[in-house]
Amino acid sequence: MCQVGEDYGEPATEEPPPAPRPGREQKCVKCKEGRPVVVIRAGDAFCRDCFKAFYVHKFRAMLGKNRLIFPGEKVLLAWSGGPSSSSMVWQVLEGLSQDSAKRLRFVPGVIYIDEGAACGQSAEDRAKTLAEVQLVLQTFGLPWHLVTLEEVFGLPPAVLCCSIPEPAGAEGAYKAAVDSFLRQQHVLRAQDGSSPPQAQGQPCQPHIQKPLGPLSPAGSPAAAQTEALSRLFHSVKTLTAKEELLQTLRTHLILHVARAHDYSKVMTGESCTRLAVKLMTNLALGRGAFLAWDTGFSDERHGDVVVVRPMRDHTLKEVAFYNRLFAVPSVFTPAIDTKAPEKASIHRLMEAFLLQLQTQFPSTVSTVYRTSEKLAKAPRDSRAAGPRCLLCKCMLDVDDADSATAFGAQTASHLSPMQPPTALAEAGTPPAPCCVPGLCRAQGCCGGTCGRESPRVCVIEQLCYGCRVNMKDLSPGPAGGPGVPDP
Amino acid sequence: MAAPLSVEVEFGGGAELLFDGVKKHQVTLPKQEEPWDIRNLLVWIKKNLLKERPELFIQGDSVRPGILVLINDADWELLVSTSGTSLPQPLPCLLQAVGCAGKPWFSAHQG
Repeated sequence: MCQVGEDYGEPATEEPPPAPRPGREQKCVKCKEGRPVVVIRAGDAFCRDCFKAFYVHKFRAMLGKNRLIFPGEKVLLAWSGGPSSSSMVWQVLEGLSQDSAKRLRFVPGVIYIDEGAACGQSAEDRAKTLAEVQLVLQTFGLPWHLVTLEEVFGLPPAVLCCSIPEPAGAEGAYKAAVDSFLRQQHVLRAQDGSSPPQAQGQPCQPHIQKPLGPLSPAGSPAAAQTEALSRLFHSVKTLTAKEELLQTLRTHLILHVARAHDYSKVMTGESCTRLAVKLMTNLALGRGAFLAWDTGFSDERHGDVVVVRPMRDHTLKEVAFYNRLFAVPSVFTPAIDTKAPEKASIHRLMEAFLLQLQTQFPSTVSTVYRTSEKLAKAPRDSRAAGPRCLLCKCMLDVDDADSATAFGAQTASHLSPMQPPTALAEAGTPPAPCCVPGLCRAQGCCGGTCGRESPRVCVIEQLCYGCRVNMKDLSPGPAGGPGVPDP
Repeated sequence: MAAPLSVEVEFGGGAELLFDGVKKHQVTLPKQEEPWDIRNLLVWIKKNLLKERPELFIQGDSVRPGILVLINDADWELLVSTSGTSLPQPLPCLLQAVGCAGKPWFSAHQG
């Protein structure tokens, strides 16, 4: 029905009502004066200045509407080098430099994760990319943290523990916080005379974060860890599982850095288009129960650190044009799925599907986005602090004793034929994706019974359906595991 | 009859990976019977500039969905008539392909 290229024999009926034909004399639809440079949505041509105002307004409105970021709060900006996150960082920078009435009032830092090992980049390419990245980070002028994905091996098991989420503030808490902050500013200004308000607090000096895990003296990750990481990713059978694994590791690493430096919020730059693709992909991956957290504005599943998505209203086209017109610095790095064919993974397939549909039906992406806005996060039972998935930290809301569900069937099939104890199991180290040594012990999941079941089964029992499906594509690996180095 | 046209074609946002990593190409389109338009230009690019994986750049008559096209720093869609995305349009000047990771771009300017 919605297939592009399908011939019904009456193509005329499928076309959207014709918009007025844009001619050379077309003017910006907003100010009616400027020369239009970009078409937003279906047929709205904007001139450069109106487009900038529109874009910036969307960003500020997204932050202002949700009222989650309190004045003076430390916020970590997750920057991947790509256009959306670069645009987000740029918007934050511009917001910080506005006049005081409209200035953004939080304290940002930037984190960049070097994922070259997972994507199979050579050391020279990684060094080249890092050099470019450092240049851009210096341009930003914010405190920055440069970490490599290999540091994920050095994360303590505590990273998978979920701290108790703080109770949601009362209705007036945000307003009260803003009011008291403004009053403080007045007092400071009165005291200091003409000196600028100490809103930001810390100096804008970039510094490199002390590395989390064992690093060689040169500052680059140890070759053994790089080797281990690339072996880990090679042992994954499908690109879909690789992408999910990368996402999980990346998230945990960012959260760890955030916690280590007292950041209470993390901002990620997922755009409208990306989130629409993510929504559909997650449905296909079996994560339908968690769509509200995966695609919503705020994601509080980790408890103390809240992930926020301020770019979720901007389409990739708007981001690309803004970056081009206003020279926003970004660094292109090949990702794990660059140049992969269309059917290589569920993510790619969904992206191709949605983008293709978008060309003929320009409201596709925004429709999917609006749907994601309507998803509510109501818990099943009232505030029941149930068990959470070990990897993605979402509430396990399925009764795994009920074998009639897909979830239950998976549980049953894993328990009956016992995995033969490999040398790995004897070593007590969990196999495959659990690059957190001593996981079973830390979680205390099996008590004393771990001896008779392989650790892999222990871990699988604590995963949600989507994560279990991903685990299926992770092979147990040879004895010693895919590269969990001795701590 | 179209005279030779000098065009600067730029690829970015990841599209350059298909062109040996070279972002800017200064090209001269040769003389030919029909006037140069975007469709012809794309065919020419596919034959002469594209180094690998044509299916990641071109789809049918036009660019693959997801690739943004700028003409003289303005959205291609400003010039598109209502009849569809793939179109014969007289090439104004430089074409620039603009895109971002996931949305590679390609643009052209008159040289």
